[in-house]
Amino acid sequence: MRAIGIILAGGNNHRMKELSQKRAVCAMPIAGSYRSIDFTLSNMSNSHIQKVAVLTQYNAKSLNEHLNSSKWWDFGRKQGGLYVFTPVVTAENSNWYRGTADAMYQNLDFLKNSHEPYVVIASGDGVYKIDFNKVLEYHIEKKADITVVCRDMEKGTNIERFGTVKMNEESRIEEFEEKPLQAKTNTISCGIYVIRRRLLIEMIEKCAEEDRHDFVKDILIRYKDIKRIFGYKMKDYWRNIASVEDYYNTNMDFLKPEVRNYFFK
Amino acid sequence: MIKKEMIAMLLAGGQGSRLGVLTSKVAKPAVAFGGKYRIIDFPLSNCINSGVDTVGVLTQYQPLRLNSHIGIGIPWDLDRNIGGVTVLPPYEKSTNSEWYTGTANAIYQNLEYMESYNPEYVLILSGDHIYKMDYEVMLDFHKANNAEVTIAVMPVPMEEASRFGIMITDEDKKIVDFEEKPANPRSNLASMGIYIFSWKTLREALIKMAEQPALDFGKHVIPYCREKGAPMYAYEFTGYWKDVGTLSSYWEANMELIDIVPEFNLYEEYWKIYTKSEIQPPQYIAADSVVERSIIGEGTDIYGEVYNSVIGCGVTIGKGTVVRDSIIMNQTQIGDGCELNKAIIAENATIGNNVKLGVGEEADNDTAPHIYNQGIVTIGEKSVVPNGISIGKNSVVFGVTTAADYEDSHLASGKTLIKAGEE
Repeated sequence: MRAIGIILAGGNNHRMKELSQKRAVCAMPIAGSYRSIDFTLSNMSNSHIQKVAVLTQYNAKSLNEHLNSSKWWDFGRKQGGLYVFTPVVTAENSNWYRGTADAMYQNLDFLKNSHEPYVVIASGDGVYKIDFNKVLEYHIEKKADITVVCRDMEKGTNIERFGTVKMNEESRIEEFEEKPLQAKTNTISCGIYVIRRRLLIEMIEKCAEEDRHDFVKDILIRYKDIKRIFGYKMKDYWRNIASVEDYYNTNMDFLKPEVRNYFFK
Repeated sequence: MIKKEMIAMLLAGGQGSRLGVLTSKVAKPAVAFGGKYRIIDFPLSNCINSGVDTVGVLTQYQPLRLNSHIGIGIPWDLDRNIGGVTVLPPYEKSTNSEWYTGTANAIYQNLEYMESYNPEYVLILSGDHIYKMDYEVMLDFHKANNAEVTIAVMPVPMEEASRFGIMITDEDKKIVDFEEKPANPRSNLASMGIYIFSWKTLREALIKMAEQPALDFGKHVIPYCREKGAPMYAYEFTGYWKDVGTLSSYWEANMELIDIVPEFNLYEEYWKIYTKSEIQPPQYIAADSVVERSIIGEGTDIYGEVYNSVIGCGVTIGKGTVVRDSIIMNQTQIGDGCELNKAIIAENATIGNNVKLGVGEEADNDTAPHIYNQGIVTIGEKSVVPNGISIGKNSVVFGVTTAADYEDSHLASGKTLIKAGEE
């Protein structure tokens, strides 16, 4: 595939309470056999992305142990590989990752030294199946600057803890709100983005110059009227395990035959 | 110069015909064992756990599954820049091309492989035994005795000794004599088919004996070494060791694994057994299902009842089906409402709905009673048994069968139904 992958596996999440005190959320066990990051990693591997960077900082040990070899996901042949990037102290910088954009800025060399034209950015706590090639095709067809994978959530979902988007009839995103107090739509961002590599580098550098650090707030929301940002609707199963309740429900979902068949058959 | 102190040569070319249809498509070392393993995993894991990182695997009979299982040796950490695992099939030569005609002949044909590592010692293993053994301890024994040949032996009950190659030793464990399957055994130390040779001794013997047809370790090489007066010692092993060469011993060895703490413990951290695992989803135990005292492989879905059984990976046991005392290998699908008693079902088989296996009175098998006995029903790999069939004891089915192959939807005890050449 003509894209590299970046998995944002950074954070701890206070809504996961004690469960994630000692481990990154992305290393939380799902469905008995997996850890949540396996879903995003497998999606990338199955979409033939060959080079993937995982950006992490909170309790990275749990994740590092799990990602001890790229071979489990078939990354990392002579070309490509699986990289785990934690913050490092350099002559110019001794900060932690101050946000998702900052995490990418601190690893800008990875982006600059790649040659693939596109980047797939995804969070590491999603449980879903997607072919990133389809998203990329859509991205190219729409002549988008950034494509955001979105999903209409079922009634009764607590929308307020997601980023919500409103698209026009061409699927261009007109409004983007992060964790709105009162949601105006039930379409949420899944935290999965496709963007041209050079554009990403440019925007991340600009962001850093202005001392801004967050990909959603400082890039998606700030640039939504200037850049062509499109939503790609996914309709299939998608959950993220951002709270104890979600974590419990997601695991319980795997007892349903339709969910098991969707993922495993 | 590349140098390895000890390399292993693993004989994995035999058919293992006493396993009946289980080995009609695969070499014996590649037969599934214990829910997730294949027999060859045991000697290979023993090698790496003993620090032997150079292993030549001699293949000949039906090697495809063995080759894909071994690959480049990743599961056993045997993917090495120098050494590691090498699959050694027979190959064509400018003159005198031949198959491996005997155990020692196979080793002889790979002299060059062994020479390339300049070993001090060569360990000869066979690929059909279930055991855990530290070959390094055996090597220490070999060195301490200044032996040229060391043969691993285990004490067997005197009344069974006449089935084995028996070593007669002095008080220092030096072998003074040996007998192949003696009528009146003089000792109960049975050879396990595991040898350490000092390289020079082995090399000389193989070259000297090269013209011997069907050159065999037990029949030719060991007697030659004794004639020559090479010091030979017996290394006594008292741990768990099982030759799974027959259907009933294969069945027993599997059944021994389902004890809470089995005599042969696969669960201990020390001395792990490694295998190549397919990527499988987690197992699923449905509502109303019962699982008692069984091993269940990954990715297996159980809707029925399973007692005292070893179930492989990716198996489905249908609703209302009752499985007892059986071995079901990877990817086999069992329909609803079946009844399985003491059955061995090989990989990728399909059993329809309401099928009964192992029912009725026992009767001797009509074609090969020395293979199919003890009441075990055997179903070969990729076989199909259609809906509503009942099959008796000591019977065997292999191939894609249809209702027309059965009389009144029944195959009596002791009958053989083999539809060869079809899949």
